[in-house]
Amino acid sequence: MIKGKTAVVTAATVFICALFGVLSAVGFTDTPYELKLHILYQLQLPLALTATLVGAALSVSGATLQVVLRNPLADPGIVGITSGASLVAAVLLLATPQWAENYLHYILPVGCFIGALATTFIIYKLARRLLGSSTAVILSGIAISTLSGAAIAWLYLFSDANSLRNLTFWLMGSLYQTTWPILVVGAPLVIAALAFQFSNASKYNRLYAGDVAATSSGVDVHKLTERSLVACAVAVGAAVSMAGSIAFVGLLVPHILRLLIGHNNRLLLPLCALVGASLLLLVALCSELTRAITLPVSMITATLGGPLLIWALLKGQLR
Amino acid sequence: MNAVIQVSDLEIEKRLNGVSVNAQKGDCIHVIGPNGAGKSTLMTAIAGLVSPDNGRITFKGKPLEYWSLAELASMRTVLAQQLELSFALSVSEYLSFYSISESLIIPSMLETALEIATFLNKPITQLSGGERQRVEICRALLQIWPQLLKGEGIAILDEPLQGLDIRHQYAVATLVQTLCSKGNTVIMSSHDIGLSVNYCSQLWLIQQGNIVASGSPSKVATQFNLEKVFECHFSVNQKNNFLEIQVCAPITLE
Repeated sequence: MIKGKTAVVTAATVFICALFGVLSAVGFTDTPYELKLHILYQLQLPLALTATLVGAALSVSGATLQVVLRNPLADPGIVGITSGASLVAAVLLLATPQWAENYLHYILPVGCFIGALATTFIIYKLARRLLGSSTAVILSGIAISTLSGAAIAWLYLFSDANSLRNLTFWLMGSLYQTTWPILVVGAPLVIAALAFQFSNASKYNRLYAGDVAATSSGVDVHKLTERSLVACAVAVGAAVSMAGSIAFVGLLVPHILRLLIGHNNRLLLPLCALVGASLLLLVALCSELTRAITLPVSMITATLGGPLLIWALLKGQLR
Repeated sequence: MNAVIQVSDLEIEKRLNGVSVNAQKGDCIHVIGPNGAGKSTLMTAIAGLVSPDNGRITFKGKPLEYWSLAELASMRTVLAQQLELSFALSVSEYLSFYSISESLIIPSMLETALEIATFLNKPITQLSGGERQRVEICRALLQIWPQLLKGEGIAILDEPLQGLDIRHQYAVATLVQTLCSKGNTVIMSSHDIGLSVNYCSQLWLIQQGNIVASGSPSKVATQFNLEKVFECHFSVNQKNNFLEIQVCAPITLE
């Protein structure tokens, strides 16, 4: 196991390098200075901010969901929060009338947030009813994901070519669709939700020993669970509104980090934020370097994530 | 009266029918009774983790509802029956989340009785049932260790001896007795009548949600009471300060 300080310093260094990489990618071309400045402000800065916020939101929420639902398999995608948000986003993209399209920037984050909250609520209710069975939570999440997947497929059938392209972006994830208005609405939501999760890290630590032990040590388990699920829904909803649904980050980052630094959430959650952000920044950097084609984010996270998760499985993290 | 815990007419549907008992400061109370008699329910109610349908519980002279969850957490601790963990965290991490100080220091008294130093770095999911139980007891006591040192703590332990080997059963019973002699109050349930009668100061005998008898072990653990509650043949002999109990179950299978 790596010492906390070393891990934080390493992750912070990687994060800063990746951030600098994305921002400076424009600097090495031979475009005029004014244009460079314009590109930096209109393209690179939103890209870097999106990658940072989305990566942090998904990884931290994944880690929190795993502890709160007592299930190492939990992940915003797998328990269905992302798919709820994507479904609402898809409906909004296809069904928003012409006159309202200028306001889509504001409607979209709110809609995604509502979608995420609604699926979280359903999952929470199911989890309460199927008390103690953590597999059931995952299964109900899969059911909800499948259902919204089906709904999105139906939407596909009835949409025109232009909308289809927009829709594909939601399903595969992209870091290039954000604009400043979306960031201005989404960023505070993500930051507030993450701050809430960080501030409860030592309470999450108590949850490992089970409800009775946690309650007896002064943690109001029901209240904490409810509020944490809302916080995750807010963070994930905002993330989806910025970058569509990105697979795997919420499962991958916490698991790898637990193997490296242990289970202390006071260390784990901030590191998840740093590493998740770095991961998506690196994905953005890959796209920048290949330039000609814009790579769907989920494609890269899944390509990287699959083998890493198998490694984690073999190390005995999951059973 | 120096009652730390007073329970009067406690009723919980299908579990407890009007239980009234008291615990004085420094009492070492063992709760015995058949499976499903209501031991765990009584103990979780006293711990303030379930609210009763009827009756009242006072804690240090004030009704249980008066105390906040955080105040209760600093005065009393609860050991629940084991549950499966989904994360392979190490024993030392697990314990450090429950200890008061940031760095984990296991008090020597706990280490002597529980002997957990050898597997501090092991993942908790790889421990045997008895080893895990020793870790759980340690975790529960660490939560209020400063209070226990002052002799002001209250520990509610649901079957702490479950799964332990014989040596650690007696070690834990002795640990509990020592804590009580410093002024702490412990309520623990047990299935080992022979051990309990010799290691407690008060014995609560419970059957089908009712307290059948409570008081000093030699008065409660009579042949009549035990045979009535457990439906077995008992012989109880007083030898100096030692109560010797022999059991024989009147069960024939064919």
